[in-house]
Amino acid sequence: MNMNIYSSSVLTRVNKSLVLSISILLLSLVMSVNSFANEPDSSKTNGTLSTELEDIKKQVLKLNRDLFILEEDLLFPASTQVAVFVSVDVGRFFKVDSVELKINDKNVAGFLYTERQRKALEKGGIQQVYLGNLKEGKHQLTAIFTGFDGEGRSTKRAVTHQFEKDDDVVMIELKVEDNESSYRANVRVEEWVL
Amino acid sequence: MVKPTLADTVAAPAHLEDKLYRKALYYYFTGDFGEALNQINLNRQRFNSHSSRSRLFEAGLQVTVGLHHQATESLKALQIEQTGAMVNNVDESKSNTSPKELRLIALLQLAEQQIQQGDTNTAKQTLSQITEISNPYNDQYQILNQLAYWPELPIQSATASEEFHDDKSSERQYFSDAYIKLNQALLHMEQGDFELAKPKLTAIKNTLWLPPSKTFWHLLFNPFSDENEEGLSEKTNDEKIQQQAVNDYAQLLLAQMYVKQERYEAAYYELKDFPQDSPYTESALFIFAFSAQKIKQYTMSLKLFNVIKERFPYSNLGWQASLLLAGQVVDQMSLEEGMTSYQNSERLYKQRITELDNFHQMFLTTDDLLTFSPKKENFLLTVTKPAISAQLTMPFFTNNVYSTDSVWLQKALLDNELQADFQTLVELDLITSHLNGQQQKNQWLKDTLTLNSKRKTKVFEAQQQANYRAIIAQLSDKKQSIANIVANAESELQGDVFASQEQEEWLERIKASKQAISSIDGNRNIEEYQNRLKRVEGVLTWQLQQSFPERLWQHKKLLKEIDQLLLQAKQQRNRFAVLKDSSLLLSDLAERIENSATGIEAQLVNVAKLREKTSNKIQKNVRQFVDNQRLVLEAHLLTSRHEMAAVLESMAKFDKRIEKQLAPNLLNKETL
Repeated sequence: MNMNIYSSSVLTRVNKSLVLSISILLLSLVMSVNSFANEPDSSKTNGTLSTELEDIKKQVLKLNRDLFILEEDLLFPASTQVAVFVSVDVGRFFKVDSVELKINDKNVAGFLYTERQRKALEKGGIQQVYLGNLKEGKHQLTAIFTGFDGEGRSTKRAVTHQFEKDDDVVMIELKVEDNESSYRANVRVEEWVL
Repeated sequence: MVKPTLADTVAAPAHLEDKLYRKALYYYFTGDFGEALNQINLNRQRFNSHSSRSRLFEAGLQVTVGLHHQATESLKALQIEQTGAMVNNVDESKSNTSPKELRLIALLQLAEQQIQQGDTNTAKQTLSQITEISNPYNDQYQILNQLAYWPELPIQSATASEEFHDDKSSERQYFSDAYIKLNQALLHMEQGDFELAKPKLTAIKNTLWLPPSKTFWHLLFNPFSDENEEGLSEKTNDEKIQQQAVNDYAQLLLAQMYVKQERYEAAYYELKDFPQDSPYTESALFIFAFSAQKIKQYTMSLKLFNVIKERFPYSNLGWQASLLLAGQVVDQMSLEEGMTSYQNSERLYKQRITELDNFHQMFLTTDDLLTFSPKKENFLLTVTKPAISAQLTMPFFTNNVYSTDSVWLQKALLDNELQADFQTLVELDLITSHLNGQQQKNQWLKDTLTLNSKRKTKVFEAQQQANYRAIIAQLSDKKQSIANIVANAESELQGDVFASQEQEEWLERIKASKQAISSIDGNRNIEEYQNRLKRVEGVLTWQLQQSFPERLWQHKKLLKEIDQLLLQAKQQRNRFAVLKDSSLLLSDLAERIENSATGIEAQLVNVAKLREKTSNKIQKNVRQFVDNQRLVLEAHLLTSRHEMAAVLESMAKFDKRIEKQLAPNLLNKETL
């Protein structure tokens, strides 16, 4: 019997989930690096291709960023830009389900959260829920959150905030915060100081 | 107004840095790694926000999206920075992770990247910089250390940190220990030190291994981490699978070691209770059947070889099983049955060779290799990509592994390099689709800018026709005259200041009448005239005094309105001046759009070139795979034919022997 045939087969038939996460993969990598030493062409080609792919990805990322900034400069210049964010602190007393935003009594944005998006907020993420343009002057923002309280009952929280738009970007964060003393969540508004 | 860019900004204050970082975190936790990376880049470019925590996060995201070299560079820079921060005792209060821990994570991840890139010498140097290691990172350190020094014994530069010391941890057996011991056992086996390998493998086989505790950073740097996607039950299930796989692998290696030592009985009993649903079932089944044959458990081995043949018709072990089975039939049954068995094997190999050639022909004629017998979900992944995404997100990073319905290609894809090349093709297609989206977006921005420019030109032309200087002078004169009237009225409080034209005419007539009366004074009796004139004058004065406050208010209001008009005219003039300057901004935007268009074009060309290169490489590797498979099959075919010849020879000998035995009888008959 040819031992080499099945022993190599043993090495290649490692469970995928195992392979991806454990050191055996790294070990085989190191081994493959050694075996590649005997095949300089293959290793070289492989390295070049992966480097080229990385370069392309890098360039595409850069293009993406430039285009994003360009778009923002053109469509949302600082003199008119208003951005609204949502964050959740803990989220034990209020599980966010949706948010509706009004500026000067006009609906401007609405967002329905998936489980994953809600968890992302509870883990500390801040979500940009609205980006728009407003003229200089005084404005009113109204946010209505719907969700579930600690006992799973459907509940709502709303907040109104007056703000003034000047020549700089206005960034407003709606913070859904647990209140330990009242066992309920409140929405607090914070304007970012740039 | 243009937002501040990197050049004219100062570092973002701590609270803002935290918020910007959390914006990127949101994208990461929702699984949009490309957008998270984009956000980190934007934070740096827009707000000059690049704390150590952000940099480490960026490096982790770069690993996740496959930018390993860039991640290595980021980690190197971070490691240097953190060393400085520790020396200067800088504490980033905004981060939960201390500079010491950040440096440790950076060094570990840097070493991992270097090992993945095959640069083990540099990885050794990186690891040697770690002097203290805390519990959550100990497993990773031990594994990396082993890999960096493999096959030599690793040098332990780090000692356990008291800060994170946990007495119970030394009693626990984590997966990392299992992998380290497995690697050691493999090395012992390669070197023929079976006695050293055996206790290690036995221990691995019989131990319940625990998954190591993982921090946020561990998960971030593991591109295959499913922490964010899977529920707790699935995570536990994955741990069970890992546990089972580690135990099974150790068991299989033990059996393999026994076979190498020709201890077939030990191998047979080792694999007697091997699970059927293990990832190593095929190999275990083969060793088990082979050992059974060697220890003369023929009924068992016959059944097992048949099972292997049927269950793994395209595997090398299945093909070998066919030959071993035929050999056993010859030995155990009859030559005729053995012959039939060898003929079956021959037919199998010939059939496989024909299939292999057909596969190769079809593969060679396929232009787009991803369209060659893809699995349905892969097909959807590559073909039904959105033409343009609503946002500029990056859908070209995928953890979905390419797979196919073609059995031969499936077998070829067991080679990691080939699998990676197919994955490259998938990613390149996603990049192309993304770039096409960017191209459309860029064109849209260009059109928007053109419209904007046209609108501004129109406004500019309209404004140019308006003579602001004359308008402002006229309004100023008007304002002055009204202001004088109001001032006069306020100082004298005389109603005639606001007399209308008719009232002024009346006043004039009264004045003239007075003069006429005075000229005839003494000649006539003028008393009646004077009384009548006084009455008229009195009524007029009363009317004027009555309307004085109202008219004063109206004038003041008019003055205010003129003031407002004057202000608007001045603002308009200033805006017009700004509009003149903004043409520079528009040309800057136009230039940036042009640059983007050029950049996108260049990348599309690069992608096409790389796709062609990768396809050629895949074709070459598949050709090599086909050649190798054909060689194996031809070798088996040849063996089966040799064996058939041997069987025929044996049959001939047997016939001759029979003939000889029968010959005397025949001779006797003939004599009679």
